Amino acid sequence: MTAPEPLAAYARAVAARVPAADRDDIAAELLDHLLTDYERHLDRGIAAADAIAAALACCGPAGQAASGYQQEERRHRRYRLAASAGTSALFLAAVWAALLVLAAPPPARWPLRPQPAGVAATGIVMLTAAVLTAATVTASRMLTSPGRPWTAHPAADVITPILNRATAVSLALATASAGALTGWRAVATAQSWMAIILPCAAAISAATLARLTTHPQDQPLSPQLP
Amino acid sequence: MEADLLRGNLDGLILAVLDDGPRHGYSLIEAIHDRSGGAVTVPAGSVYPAMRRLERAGLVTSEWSDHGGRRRRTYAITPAGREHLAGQRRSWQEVTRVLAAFSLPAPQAQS
Repeated sequence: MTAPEPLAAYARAVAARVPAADRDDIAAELLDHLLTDYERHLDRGIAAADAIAAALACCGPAGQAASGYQQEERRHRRYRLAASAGTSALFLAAVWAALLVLAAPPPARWPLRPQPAGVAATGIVMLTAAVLTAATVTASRMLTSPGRPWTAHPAADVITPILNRATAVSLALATASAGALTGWRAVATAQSWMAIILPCAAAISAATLARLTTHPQDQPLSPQLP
Repeated sequence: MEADLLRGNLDGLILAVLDDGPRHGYSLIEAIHDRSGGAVTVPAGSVYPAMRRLERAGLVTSEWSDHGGRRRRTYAITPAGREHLAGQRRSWQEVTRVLAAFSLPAPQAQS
């Protein structure tokens, strides 16, 4: 039996929203479900157009059906997000190491006596970190809706790595700006604030990950009243 | 039936139905509906992702076949799935026993 185009289009629409590796299997299984339901309706004497509508109604909107598969991907997503945050942290660490080598600051002596230039540089970077933190929290709130955590949002896979990389690049640029404005030696000398940057970046990434991966474990059920 | 009462039990319902024999997704949804006396209709959007989760966990296996010119995936429970189901059933029996104690008004206290 040739699948009616609306049913095939629905299966394709769902499949387009799931990981490419699973796309064909999910589309085939979903199409089999739709066609089976469609045939049942036809057997009951329902007109083809109504049977198509009834079959589609049982699966809900394509985006909602796809989100079920996306929720099942959350464990794999957690690893991908951790890898993304890890590479960002490595990038920041490389920037820090390069700065220390190139600027060759004098050895730190306790107690630390921050120079005004170093304090200014610290302020620039910390301000950038604060703005990035606020942006991360705002983004997570915008993408989270009741009953649907950020992980279930179709755009989560795309947005999160971008956010991680943007965080790393922004902090690196802030470091560069601070160096240009206050002097590289002053920046590199400010060991205290450099020690703050990486924990901040790690905290931002950890908070993002925690928010992305915290949601109810249960699958939705829709019992009907008998 | 209250949806909250069944929340979190979808995996167990699926395994319980597959314990009677292999089924494809549509048949499985029908079986859950019939076995619950029509009280539970599980949406397809929940069942198929759950089947994938169960397969990844090694609790079910699947195989593809040709059905009237289209591909059909049939699921079967594994020994690990039966073991998991046994634990789930013990849990259900315990919950049922406890809730049964509250399903009727308490006897009047003797004065």
